[in-house]
Amino acid sequence: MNLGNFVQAKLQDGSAIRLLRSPWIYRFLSLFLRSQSPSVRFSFHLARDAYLKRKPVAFTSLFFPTELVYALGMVPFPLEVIAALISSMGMAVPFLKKAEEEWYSQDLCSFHRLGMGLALQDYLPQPDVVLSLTSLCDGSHRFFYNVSRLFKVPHFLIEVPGNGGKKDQEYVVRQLKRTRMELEALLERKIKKSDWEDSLGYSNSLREELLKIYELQAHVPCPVSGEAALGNVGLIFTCAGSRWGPELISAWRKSIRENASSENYRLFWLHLRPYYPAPIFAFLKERGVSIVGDELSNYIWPRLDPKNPELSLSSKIYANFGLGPIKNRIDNIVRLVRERKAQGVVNFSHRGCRQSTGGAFLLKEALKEKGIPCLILDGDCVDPRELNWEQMRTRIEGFLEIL
Amino acid sequence: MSVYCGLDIGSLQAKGILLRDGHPLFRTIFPTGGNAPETAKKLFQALLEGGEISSDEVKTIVATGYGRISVPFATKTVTEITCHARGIAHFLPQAKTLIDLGGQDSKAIRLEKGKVMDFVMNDKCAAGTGRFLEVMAQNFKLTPWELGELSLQAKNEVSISATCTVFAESEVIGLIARGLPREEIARGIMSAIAQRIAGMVHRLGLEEPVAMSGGVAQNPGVVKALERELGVSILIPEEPQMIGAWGAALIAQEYA
Ligand SMILES: Nc1ncnc2c1ncn2[C@@H]1O[C@H](COP(=O)(O)OP(=O)(O)O)[C@@H](O)[C@H]1O
Ligand code: SF4
Repeated sequence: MNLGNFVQAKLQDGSAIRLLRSPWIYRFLSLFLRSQSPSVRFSFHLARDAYLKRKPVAFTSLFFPTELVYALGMVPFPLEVIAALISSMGMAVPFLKKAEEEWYSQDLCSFHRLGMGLALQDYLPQPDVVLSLTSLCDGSHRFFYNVSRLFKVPHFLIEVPGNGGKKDQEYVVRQLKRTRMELEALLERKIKKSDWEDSLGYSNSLREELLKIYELQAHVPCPVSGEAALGNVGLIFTCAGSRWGPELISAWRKSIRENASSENYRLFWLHLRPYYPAPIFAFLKERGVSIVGDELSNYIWPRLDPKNPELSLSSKIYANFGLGPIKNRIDNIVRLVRERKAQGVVNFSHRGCRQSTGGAFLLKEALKEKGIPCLILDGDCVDPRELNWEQMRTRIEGFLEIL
Repeated sequence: MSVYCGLDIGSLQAKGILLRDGHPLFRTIFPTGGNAPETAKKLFQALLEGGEISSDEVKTIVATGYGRISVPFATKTVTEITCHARGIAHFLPQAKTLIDLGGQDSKAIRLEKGKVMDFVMNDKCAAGTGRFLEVMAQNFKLTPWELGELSLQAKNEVSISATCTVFAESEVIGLIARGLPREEIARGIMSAIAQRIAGMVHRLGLEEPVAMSGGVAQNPGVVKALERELGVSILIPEEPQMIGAWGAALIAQEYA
């Protein structure tokens, strides 16, 4: 039995709300678990722990350092990642509509709109806390604040200013410490030294595995599927700090086969991709296009030190090159483009996302100066109603013809 | 002697041309209609009949335009971006900026010696395209071309504020009902399109000489409004609507 298909069918017929909270269903599904891929097993454990409330649940924003969540014995429930997952099952529209009926504007990021639709339809587990960062996304803390109000639970927000200078780091470290202490009080559980060692240790091993994937991405032809890498972004951020982290990324690496098929173009991808079923990646493959990396799955942080957990997590947060002046982002993109021998860059400008669209022009100009062609591809990662495939195809083809 | 064929299956109109020795043997335009594959087939047949040749004599066929994938018998498909650039390089090789205004999309293309360096396409909406003009012209019971001519008679302009085609239409209906001078409303419509297009051109950076292609380049009102908006004069080839098909045929010839 394919567990993914089964779950999808249940979600579609609406019986899932009840099923998601039924211990029986997890008992039944666990019979088939052994033969499933690590990512399915990880998702199973995450859903079971969250919906059956086996552990305290934290709703988290994408860049929130989940190492802290795992060290506290909680289960993270990453709402933006769940939105992408629902969209990939072709089920985004009813939830988006629900949120729109409740006055969530179509101009808002659809990751958040869809998350709100799920919350309003009672599809989410009851959280104990909501944890988010201001890092990168200016819509996210408002969205997470609204969610915390809806579920009547505390919202812990870490403000991430500047670009990681000494003062910025100190400020973030202080907030992380305070958040940790308040969470410890709330959960009546103190983080032990061994908890940090486990959580940061797993995160370090995951990091090692990711570095191996990056090496493969530089191979010509590139054996790593760009679609898969972009699909794994949510996983990378959700499993960091859990024992699943290294296993998941190592399984991904082992599934990569050296690619003998011809490669006509090498492109570097910015921001995310459409998660709903869309012909874009099949089309790129047909044209012999390799996506040799993307800025989010290539987010790499310094090794974390269990003796200095909060400072380590703060440096992980500041390793995000989308932070600070756009020069950071541009320099890193140019470095990666050169490392991966990419011929051009695609910036997927997600509707409603200030940070992926706002800098598009500066980015394009800066890349042009370095002789790197850049395609600004407007679209939506989650809302399939926004797709105009014919236009998108002409844009991509026109860009390939320039190369 | 070999013949090369370019087919530009546009959203509204399908254009085809046969070249022999670099000279046009025959060219024609069909409405695309709802069945692009069928139209492409008929267009090709019509070209063969008009050129009095058999299909065997056609060495390569390049298809372009939105319906390019609906031409199974094409040797190769190329986007209209590259084809328009190739076509304009043939007629106006000095052009550095090309504006292509078609039925449902508009593009600004930066050229360097006939090669595409960069391009910008309109967003998902149809404001600022031929379709917008057609909708507006219906309210005056005129053709888009007549609406363009009418706009040239105006000394002043009634500005249209809505960008959305549907809202702009109701705005225009309101203005007509209020009895405002028709030519001034017409000029407002031309300016509304020109402003949208100018925005795209400026994103690429305006570099002269500027040329224009696509069916809408035949509309004198739009051309004038764009010249006003950009502050430059615009070069128009003799048959702007055929430029994509010309480019496709030239690429077919080079490909062979
Ligand atoms: N003689 C003309 N005068 C003014 N506009 C014209 C003329 N012929 C065609 N058009 C306009 O050109 C548009 C079609 O242009 P075209 O480049 O063929 O588009 P597409 O390739 O998308 O079908 C139509 O909107 C039509 O109104
Ligand atoms: S896509 Fe942009 S707006 Fe949406 S969650 Fe991500 S960063 Fe925020």
